[in-house]
Amino acid sequence: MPDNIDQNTSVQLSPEMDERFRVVSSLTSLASFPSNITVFGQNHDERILLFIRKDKAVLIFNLVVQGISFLVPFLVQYLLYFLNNKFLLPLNNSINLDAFFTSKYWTAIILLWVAYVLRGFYNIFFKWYYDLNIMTTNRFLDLDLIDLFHNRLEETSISKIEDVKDTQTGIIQSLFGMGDLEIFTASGQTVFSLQDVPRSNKIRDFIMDIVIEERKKRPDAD
Amino acid sequence: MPIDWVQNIQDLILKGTVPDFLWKGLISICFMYIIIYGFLQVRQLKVLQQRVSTSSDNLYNFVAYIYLLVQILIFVVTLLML
Repeated sequence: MPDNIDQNTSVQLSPEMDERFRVVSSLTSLASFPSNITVFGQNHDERILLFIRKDKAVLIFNLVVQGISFLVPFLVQYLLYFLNNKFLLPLNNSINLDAFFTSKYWTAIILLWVAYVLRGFYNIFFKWYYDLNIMTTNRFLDLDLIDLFHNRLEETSISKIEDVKDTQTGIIQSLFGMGDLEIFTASGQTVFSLQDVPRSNKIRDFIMDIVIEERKKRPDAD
Repeated sequence: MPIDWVQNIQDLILKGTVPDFLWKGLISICFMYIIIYGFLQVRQLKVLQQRVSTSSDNLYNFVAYIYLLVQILIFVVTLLML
């Protein structure tokens, strides 16, 4: 059997797909045939074919924005000084802001803000980490961490997948090679919408290869 | 013309009109919210790990506990300072 044929699925992969996606670290955005991941309800003969997260550029962008928000207390401080000097000083009613901004209360507020921003970093990271899509030999799963008490796991059988649509819009997606994927089922409804995934055209190609192979195995399904 | 409310706020914040315990109380409530939220986040992490498990789960559990510890330390330092 040639090297680029997966023995479990009998799917012939393009050399590009076969090699480039076979990189698995816990922080990867895209991996084929990861060996270190298991999903709930996975059967002993079920193998994970594809593992997809949002592109790392999305994570980095959100972390940078969160990092900038560290500066908010200092911005407030600057703004108050500005307003005080601009409007209150001419009226001889200026507040002695120095006393407050050098007090322990202001330091406490800054520490509180640091804790709040850290919480934001944690949220951003784990929202990215657990917003993932997994394709196994039997099914396609979509796990979303929407909020603290709101997560959602959806799945559909591979045999129900009809079509995959790949859209790349905007400068950012073009620049980072990201795209949006929509996966349609037999009923014609979009069941899965994957946003900002890396190399979306290759993922679409990969999924369609699997789907076509599945159809060949079950000719009566059509 | 003097602006009374400016003077009032100045007195309230800078001249100790706001009692120390009130500052401590307000800041503690905010910290408690962040820390309880952190505990729930760690709990949520375990739920998610039951759904999709990777070989790095232990590492991220460790990171989550370090995160909680840092939050609690910031809280303690703030209270000691106040």
